Amino acid sequence: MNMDDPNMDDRMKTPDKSREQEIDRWLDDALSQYSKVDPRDGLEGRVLARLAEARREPTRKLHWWGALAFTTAAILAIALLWHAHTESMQFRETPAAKVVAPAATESRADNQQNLDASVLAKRTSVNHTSNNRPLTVAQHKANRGIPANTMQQAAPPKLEQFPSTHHLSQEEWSLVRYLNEQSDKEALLKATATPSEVDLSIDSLEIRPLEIPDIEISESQTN
Amino acid sequence: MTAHFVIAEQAIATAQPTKAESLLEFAVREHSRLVYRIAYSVLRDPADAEDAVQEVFLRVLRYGNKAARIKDWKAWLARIAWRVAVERRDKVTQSSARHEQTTDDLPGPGSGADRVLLERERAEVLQRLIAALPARLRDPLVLATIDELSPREVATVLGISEAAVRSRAFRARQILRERLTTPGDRK
Repeated sequence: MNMDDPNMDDRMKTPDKSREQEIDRWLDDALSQYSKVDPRDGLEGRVLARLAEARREPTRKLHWWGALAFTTAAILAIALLWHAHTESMQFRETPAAKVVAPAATESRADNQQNLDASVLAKRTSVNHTSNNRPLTVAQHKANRGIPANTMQQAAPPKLEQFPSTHHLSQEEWSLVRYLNEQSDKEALLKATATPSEVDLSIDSLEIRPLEIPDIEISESQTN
Repeated sequence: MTAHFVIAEQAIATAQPTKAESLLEFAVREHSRLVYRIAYSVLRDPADAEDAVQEVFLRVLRYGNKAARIKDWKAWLARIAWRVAVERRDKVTQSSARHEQTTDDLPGPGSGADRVLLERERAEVLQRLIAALPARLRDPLVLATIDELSPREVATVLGISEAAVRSRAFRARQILRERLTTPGDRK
């Protein structure tokens, strides 16, 4: 091999160049084919079908939510009706409540005797000390501590809330004041007596002996 | 064909928001192949690529009437497809063992089995080499292999300049060439 040959470099480089060119070609081909892949037939149809299905899903969800909302509303309505029905039944079972519930009716005065004075005084005093606010559950429980005999005597009527949340009327307040001064049952009865009751006082009956006139029997009749 | 494409692009650009649904169907017909190729270039699995295509168009559907305001649907869809594919690639660990050979992959009767096998081997070698590239060089090169995308559109998808796309793709190609010429790096 003659190393001084000037064409030697070219001859040695030629295989390298041709190899490089071959690699370049190979790389170009490979890169051009790298992403040249076609999808399976019917891709567009499958995508469109999936989109159509996805469009229907919100409607389905809406139906589901509607059914759920309707069921919940129905359950609530039934619960409310049941509660109202139960309340009305309880109210009917306790006729005494009718007596106390109306604030200022004449029938209340007639039945006022059913209420024990001490219980009424207790109720009013509790209301007075709590700035006429309705009693809490705790206060109700505390009120249970009053002597049993008074409770039995009073036989408190069943109300939705007892004592009533209504403010006391003018007449009731006057009664309370009076009771605070003299908590006497007779005084209470006297105070609560209506004019009609006062007028109803009947004088004692006077039964006079029967006067029988003397019967004169004539002699002729006797014969 | 070109005239039809131009008319279609104009139709998309000038469509009213109320026609969002028909626009979407039109976009599916026109660009589903491009979306598939982008997804396939990242995922390298036909089934995964098709799933990605479905997801891309479902995302577009969720845009609703806002999609009608998009001017360049091709670039927009390409960007979504790229994101979806990359997200999927990050989730799923792609392995060659997972890829089952189907009848579609087998060479046909008159296609020349040797040539098909040679091409498959070449594709596998190239895939290994590309996967070994750093991401900043790999992404422009992979997108540049898709014929439908111009360098400008690749730049839009990747959010870099067109010059950066060109230079990175060139640099990636140089690295591949070096590894192919060096026998030790080829495996």
